[in-house]
Amino acid sequence: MLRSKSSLWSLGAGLAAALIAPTFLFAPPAAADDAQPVSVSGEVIVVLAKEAEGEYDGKLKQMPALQKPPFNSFKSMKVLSTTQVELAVDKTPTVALPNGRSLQLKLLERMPDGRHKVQVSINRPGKQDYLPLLTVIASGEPFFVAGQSFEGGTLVIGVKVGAAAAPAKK
Amino acid sequence: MNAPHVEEELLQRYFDGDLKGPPAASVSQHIATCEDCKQRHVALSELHKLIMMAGEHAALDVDFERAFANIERGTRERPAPGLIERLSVWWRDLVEQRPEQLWAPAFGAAMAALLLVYVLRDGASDAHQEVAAATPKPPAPVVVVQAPAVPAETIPVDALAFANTEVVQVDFGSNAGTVYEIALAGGVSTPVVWINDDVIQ
Repeated sequence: MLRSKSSLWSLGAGLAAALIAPTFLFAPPAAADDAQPVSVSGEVIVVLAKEAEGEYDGKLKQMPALQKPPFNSFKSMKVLSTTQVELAVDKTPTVALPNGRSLQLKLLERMPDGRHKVQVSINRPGKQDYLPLLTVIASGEPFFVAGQSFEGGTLVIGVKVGAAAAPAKK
Repeated sequence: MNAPHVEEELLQRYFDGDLKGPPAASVSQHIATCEDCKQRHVALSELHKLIMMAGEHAALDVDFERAFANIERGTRERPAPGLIERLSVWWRDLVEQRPEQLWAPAFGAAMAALLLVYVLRDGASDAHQEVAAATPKPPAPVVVVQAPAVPAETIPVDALAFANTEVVQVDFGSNAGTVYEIALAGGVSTPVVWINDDVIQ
């Protein structure tokens, strides 16, 4: 039991101080990254791949993934277009595909490890809306969307977002 | 033999009216019979009168209205002490004058800290559960390990996590498709999302 009015006041003051102090102690510091607009550059390369013998575009030699399964069954590859894009939260670039469709890239967020979460969509033929196809956390190494038929071959779309990260150890 | 004289302190207390009952009666009886003590008591009375007269005389020279006005003006002009100053005074007073009461704020602080930890932990848990409940689970990706143009030695995908580029979600809709992982040098891998043509509708 409290012995005096001043003890009660002291108890109240102690409670108030203990409740207020953590507000200052645990207040999150202003994040510098939040103040910067998130944007990242990217590249979309559209390749026509065919199983028939033919020319292999020299530009693709710097993309070793295209020599590996499931792409190694193609005997010829030709770069149809290379498009530089700038992705931002409020900027969703689209890249026209040779089959009349469009590929849309949307930057969702920048991850703490420096990678970028990106949504890839392709619109339906003759329609304006885009169907979200996949969401990736891109490291800067090109990833691929492939399978659409075009002029007797298959479209292979390589998407590179940001700079390539250091190789990860498994 | 005469009774001993009343001690100075006892006489003073008698004069001030602090003595009651038998002690007061004993001193009164002694003063009535002892000339010395009677004179001392009279001297105390005279001194008291002189002090009272001096005080009254001095009070006549004091302008109390002006003095109170000065006090009120000073009170108005001096800014009220802030919270920090009042807390500082309270704490100094507590530590220096009433150290036995230090347990009260310490106990209060400890209880408040426990309450805060409990509330924060409980709140974080609730928020996590609410987010988990409110976030719809993405539809399971349609992964078909078969595509006409895919050779047999493709790497099967049993998980949608890759070394560097990570596939978070795939939605083929009503279409068929496959997700592959291409292993590159240095432990790097990259995904391939293979969708059948004629099925993007």
